[in-house]
Amino acid sequence: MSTMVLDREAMQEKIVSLTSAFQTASTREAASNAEIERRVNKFLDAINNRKQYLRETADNLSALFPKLSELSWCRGAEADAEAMEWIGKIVDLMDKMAAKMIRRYAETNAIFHKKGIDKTELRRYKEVADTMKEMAVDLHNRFYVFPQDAEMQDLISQFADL
Amino acid sequence: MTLYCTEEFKREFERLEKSSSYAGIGAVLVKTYCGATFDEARSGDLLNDLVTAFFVKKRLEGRGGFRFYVLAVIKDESIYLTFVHPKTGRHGADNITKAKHHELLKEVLRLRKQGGIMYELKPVASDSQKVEFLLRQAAPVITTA
Repeated sequence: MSTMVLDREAMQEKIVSLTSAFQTASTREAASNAEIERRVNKFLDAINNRKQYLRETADNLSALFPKLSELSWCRGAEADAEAMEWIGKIVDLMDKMAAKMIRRYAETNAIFHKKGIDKTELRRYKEVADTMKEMAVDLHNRFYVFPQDAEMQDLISQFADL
Repeated sequence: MTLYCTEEFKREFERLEKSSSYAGIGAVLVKTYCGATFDEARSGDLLNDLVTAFFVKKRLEGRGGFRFYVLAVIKDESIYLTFVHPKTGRHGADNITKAKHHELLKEVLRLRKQGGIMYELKPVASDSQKVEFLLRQAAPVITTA
């Protein structure tokens, strides 16, 4: 077994050097941890912001559905050129909004899927987009397609006997 | 208000009811239509203004989200459920076609003018989530000139 003669000066140097190394490592670790935490928080903020956008958009647009449904009950609008122009504009807006939402859904879905993020808000956003698109089709048919459809007009005249 | 349905509606409804993906469709139907007034039952999106009747789409929630297609005859306040589909899942669809529109309207016209098989719907007394289909033979509705 080898023995070492205690050299106080050399030992002190080693201790100072080791202490300094630990301090440097500790400082670096804290800085690195702070940087990771900063990046994680930034990422989580971005996700939360995106989810809030999805939630608010879905809420705001679905609140319009009852009014859009009322529009379908405007009887006799087909005979009013100005009313038909306004309805056409609304249907166009609905189509464009639905298309934009579906694109946004596709982009966000890819990100959420890759990162394993919960998709509850995203699913509701997609449902609202689909309903918007569906209502646009129904309104378009109601005011622009069926009034020109000979078979539908014939059915309406048959219903007159009821 | 009397609640009827066509054979096709009954067939589609029963097909969906069997699937666990569309559990609760019975409860949705009972809650929306059984005990409803005529005005409540004919509410929804007006698809076709038939003057003497309304053809309406009712969007209802529930697993999958359902679409009920309803013909409401004003004169005698009869409600005919003509078709149903979910929005999502195996039996899901975005919408019905123009041809399907015509077909559904023609079926109710046929029942009212020529008679035929239809069903009256009533909730099952012992189960508020289920509906029973009572077979009825539709008699032609005679209209006076």
